[in-house]
Amino acid sequence: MKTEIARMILPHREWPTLLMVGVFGLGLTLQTARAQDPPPADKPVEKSTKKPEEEKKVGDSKKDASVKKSDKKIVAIVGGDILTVTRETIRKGTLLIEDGKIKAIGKDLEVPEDATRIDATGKIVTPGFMALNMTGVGVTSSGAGAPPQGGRSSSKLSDELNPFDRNVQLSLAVGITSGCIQIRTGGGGRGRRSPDESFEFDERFPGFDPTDAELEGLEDREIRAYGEAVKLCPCCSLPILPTEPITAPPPTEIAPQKSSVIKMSYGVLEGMFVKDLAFLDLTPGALTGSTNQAAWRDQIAKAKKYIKDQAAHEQATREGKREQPPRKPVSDELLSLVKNEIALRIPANRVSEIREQIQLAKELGYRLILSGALEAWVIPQELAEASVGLTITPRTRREARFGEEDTSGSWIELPRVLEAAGVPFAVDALSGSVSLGGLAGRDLTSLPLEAAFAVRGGATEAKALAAITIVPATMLGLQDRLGSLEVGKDADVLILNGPPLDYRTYVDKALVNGNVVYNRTDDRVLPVVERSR
Amino acid sequence: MYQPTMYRRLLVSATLAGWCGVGFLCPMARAVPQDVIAIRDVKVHTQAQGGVLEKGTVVIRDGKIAEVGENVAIPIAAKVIDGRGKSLTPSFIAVFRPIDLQQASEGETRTVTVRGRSFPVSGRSPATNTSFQKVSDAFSLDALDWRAATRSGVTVMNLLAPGYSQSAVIKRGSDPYTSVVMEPNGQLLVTLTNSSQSLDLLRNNLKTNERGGGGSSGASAAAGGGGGRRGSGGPSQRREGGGTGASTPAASPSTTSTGSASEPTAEQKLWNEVREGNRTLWIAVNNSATILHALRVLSDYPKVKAAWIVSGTDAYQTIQEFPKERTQLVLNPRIDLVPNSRNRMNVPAMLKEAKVPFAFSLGSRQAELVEAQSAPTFALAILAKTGLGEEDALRAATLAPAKLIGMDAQMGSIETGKLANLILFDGSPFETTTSISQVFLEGKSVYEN
Repeated sequence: MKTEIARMILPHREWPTLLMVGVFGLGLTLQTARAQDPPPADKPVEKSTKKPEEEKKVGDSKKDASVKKSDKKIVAIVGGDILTVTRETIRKGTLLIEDGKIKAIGKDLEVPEDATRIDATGKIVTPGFMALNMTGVGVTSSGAGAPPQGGRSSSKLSDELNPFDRNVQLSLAVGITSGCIQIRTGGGGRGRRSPDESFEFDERFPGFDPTDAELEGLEDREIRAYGEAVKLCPCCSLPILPTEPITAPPPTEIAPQKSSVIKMSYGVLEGMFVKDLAFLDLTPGALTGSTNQAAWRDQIAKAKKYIKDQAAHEQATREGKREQPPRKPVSDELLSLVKNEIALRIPANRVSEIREQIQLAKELGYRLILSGALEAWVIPQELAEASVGLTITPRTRREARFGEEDTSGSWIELPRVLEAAGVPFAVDALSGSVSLGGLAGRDLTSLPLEAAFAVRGGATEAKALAAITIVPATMLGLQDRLGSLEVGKDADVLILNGPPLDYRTYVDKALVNGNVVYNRTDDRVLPVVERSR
Repeated sequence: MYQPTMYRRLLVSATLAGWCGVGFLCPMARAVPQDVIAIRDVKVHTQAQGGVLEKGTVVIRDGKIAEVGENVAIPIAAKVIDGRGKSLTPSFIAVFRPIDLQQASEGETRTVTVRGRSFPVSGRSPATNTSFQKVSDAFSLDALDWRAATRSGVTVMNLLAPGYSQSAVIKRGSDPYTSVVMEPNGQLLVTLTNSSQSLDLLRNNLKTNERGGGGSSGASAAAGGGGGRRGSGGPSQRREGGGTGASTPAASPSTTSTGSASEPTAEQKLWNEVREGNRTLWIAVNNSATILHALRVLSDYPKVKAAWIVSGTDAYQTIQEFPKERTQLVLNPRIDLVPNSRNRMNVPAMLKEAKVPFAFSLGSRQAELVEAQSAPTFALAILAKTGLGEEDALRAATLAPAKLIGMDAQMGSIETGKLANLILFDGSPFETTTSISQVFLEGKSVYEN
């Protein structure tokens, strides 16, 4: 049964076993890492690898490293305790990085002479953390001034990346090296408004703009505070806020938002953009009610029909017939969902909502990831059977409904229940944006802390660490590149000065694609002082 | 080229003389000795091989520098200016002077963020203006008030329109309310930001030309991708077509560009020159990320030379990324803040150390010129004294801009044969107590303090 779960969440077939090894083996590894007795694995980790082809790869790379002095850029992180997440923990190990990829991990690896050595003695080396929900990090919404033509914006996220964004640095400071960023395609949002509209505008051009002094003279404070469209009341000068229409809006096409994956490669544009389409997102309530569900079913049916028609058309073309290609009735993103290339992510908290979504996903045949899932502890077995992925925020609290005290509301032990039932969960921060320069503790930069709260709620540390590394990577379909320290994966590595889920721990250095992009002593985002533990 | 100027100058002196109530023949008598001026015993910052002459003499004849040196014979007819205790520098060139040629569209606002605070500013962002403008076509010669500029030693300006334009080099006319166009075919400027629409302007124009002349595929792809918003291909080509009278008005941009495939338009010729490295492309950017995006686009075109109009902070963040031999930076002469900190830094000094060539955009704003009064070198002096060095600071405001606009054969340094565009300071240009005592434009004194 558990293999089935994994298969539903993982697009590739060979990975379920690995995930099983990772998730279940991790408990042991982390425990041993924290215990005082020597670790069980004294030999390099690759030698214990079960896959023969990987064994070979490691062998080759090791030979390369020791024999020839390559002209490639090699970085060696030496002396730290390496938490690989999906494999054994290596005490005082060595991590070799070549060209942005992990080349070898092991205990007594030979470090090439020309390698850049990073001493991590007494430190802990982990994979970079992943945030599944980010807004306003690493992108400049500079196209905001240009309205999209013909209803669809032609702007690409890859052109709007801003590797010098301050929020990138703040995210790195807590260990987030990659994340999933939602793109607002404008419109299509249903139900509640998107909570984060806080893109930073930077439309200044040297020479073309008023100077700071001239701007100081502008007096439009009140208008700015409420937005440009808001008028002030002529008698009391309070803003006249726009009101929502009282009647329900007529059913329109349900347009999911798109999420893309970027890396926090501060100052480096190359390799920052990872994946264009990672999730489809729907706002809460977008699929509730029979009209919405009917519209959704209709769209999915259209998409399925189009895929069938397209296949038939291709077949016909191969046979030499000339036919008009079928018209595309839905967006490319929806087609990817129907083809099971990506998952749909939708918030659902109450048991009834969760069941409704599971039912829809089962009926229409797409992969589902539920965010929130406060009441998931009531029905862990159902979730496990339905192979649904969850993203939870352990600190979120909700009162039980009157008369349903045992079957509603939040429960701190949700992570433990999920772990016991074998439901994969990722941990989300309380907010996707960085607020108050990361000082609030309730924003994106609280991600590792949030994972620590999962431990408080009864999950093992290994599971909690997996919930911000390999599990989100798997949900995004990037488990072969991100989320753990394994040979061949991207070198997104953290060097921590303590255990990853300890609130006292600082990120000393963060590497993205093998480049050191954050250095605590230089970047001065968080305190530089060392306290005695 | 200088004939009309001479004529105008005579006319002006004639009118002046008329007011004075002097007879009709006198102006000729007055005008002749003015043509030879000698400034003697002055400290000359030549910006040329001579370096700094402590006690130099400069002879100006017919608006040009006739002789420079320490032992120069002063012609008898010359009007002699005693330069003891004074300094002489080439006059400043406002290498980047934006001018808005469009009427501000009603109701359009954009948000400008300065250190976390947002301000609504009327008018569109320069980056959204993607239709080609030629400044010399639309600029009216009485649009500029030169008084503040002249006071600050700026007598030549490179006028650029925000967005996508070709600049014009102008100089001050006979009175401060008229301008004279020196070079109507100036620099090609694109204003970029990190958005697809903006970067497509660069991508498509470089690509279009790669396909040789017309390059219909690139242009039509751009029109499709930009949702018809990008006007660089369509309207301007149509305008060019209308000029030659050869092409018929076309319905869609793609047909327009195929129609012009046989003969590249003026705009396309500019891009051809850019692609071949015969013309420097000017790129104005609003943030450091845009620099990386644009450099990524340019990396496919190894011959392209670019001049970047950047803020000091953006230059600081990307200093290592620029290909030095194909890069020039245009900066505001100021001390900048290290990003996300309150530490101050001298970016020009860093650029000098990194050997990235740069020029100062002195006099890019009317407000700054008015503020500076007759001490425009204050900003230069701060940079000079915090690590840049005096001669390098001066070079960035004189010779470097002249080179950037391709007029270093005529101006930018004090050398024999160059135009006598000079500033006479009443002390060292880098002292706070110093102010400008006289400004010469082509040998004629246009400002006296």
